[in-house]
Amino acid sequence: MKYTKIILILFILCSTLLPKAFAQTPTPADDEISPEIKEKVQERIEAIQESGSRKAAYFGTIADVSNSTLTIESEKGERKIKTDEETDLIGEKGQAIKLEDLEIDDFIIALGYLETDGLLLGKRISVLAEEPEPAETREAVYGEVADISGEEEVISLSSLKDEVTYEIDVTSKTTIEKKVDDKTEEIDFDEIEIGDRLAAVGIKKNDNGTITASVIYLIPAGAETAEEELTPTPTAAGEE
Amino acid sequence: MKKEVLIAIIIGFALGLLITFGIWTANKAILTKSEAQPEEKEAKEIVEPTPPIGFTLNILSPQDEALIDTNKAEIKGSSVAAAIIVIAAENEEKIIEADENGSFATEVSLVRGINEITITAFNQEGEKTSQTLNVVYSTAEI
Repeated sequence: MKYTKIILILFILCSTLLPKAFAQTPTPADDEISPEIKEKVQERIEAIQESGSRKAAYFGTIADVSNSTLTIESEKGERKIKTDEETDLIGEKGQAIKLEDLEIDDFIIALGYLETDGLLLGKRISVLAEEPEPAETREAVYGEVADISGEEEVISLSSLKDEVTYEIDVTSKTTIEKKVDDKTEEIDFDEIEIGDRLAAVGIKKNDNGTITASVIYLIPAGAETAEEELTPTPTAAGEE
Repeated sequence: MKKEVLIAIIIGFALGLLITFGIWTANKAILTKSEAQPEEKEAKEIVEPTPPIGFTLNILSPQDEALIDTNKAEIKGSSVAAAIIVIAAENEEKIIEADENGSFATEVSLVRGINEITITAFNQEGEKTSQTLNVVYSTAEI
């Protein structure tokens, strides 16, 4: 009996203590986590912190008013705005109004704090007399200069992706820019050459599709192969 | 110490060691198997043809439907290296170039009230992608 006890005690000791020593797994060192992952984690943390109670604004036409919550139809879809006793409601003429004064199809701008479920806690809700006119749609294009009309200052731009050609109208209000030594500099129309690449933004005329450019950004032809051009080439004199 | 006690100690110790070794070997085998599984999966993933990385445009700031209390907004984002970024704000247009990492940042003026900002990116092949943000500029205290 005595021997059995001794065997049992030794057996338990060996069985319980030794596996713990083997069970330890190495923890990853800080060096193993790449800076990119650290940066992304930090960005995500900041985004979560910001979304906690960030200031936000919803605007659109009222679709429903029930209890103290407004439902609006905005460009981005349906949005809900919660109101409370602290919410300032402002009428078309700047006067203070009540929630009951709001009507379906009223255009409102609601300022407040975004809650986690996308609900806006409205702090200031203003009714606009009418829906604001959207800004003129600007067209952004990018391609290669196919032709230049110096007199009319019109550029024909061929799309790199498809067989589309854009007509770019350059006016006195157009800003033409080019990147020089990591800085953007304003340049003249004369510096644009056939074969250059450029991006332009402006208003598209409905009648003929011409884009009246407000800004043009020039990438001269061969800019990508500039390093190769810097390599000295053997001269013809040497061959003679 | 009696001879029998010494023998019992040795037997107990040996038995304990034997069982411990058995458990340790079994644990090791299980761990190796579980570690090997993701490796196999990983290897499988590598073998499979990966889709080409898409041409993307990520806007970091401002956030869509943000309330801004200054008359300027910093446009920050990322796309592909050397992408051409065209920004059309309410009353201002800008064209910039993303850096070698695809990052870009610039500032645009805002008008009071609703501002629609369209950001378009072009890659070197002429592919186009764009995003439209709606922000409100107001100095009203909330």
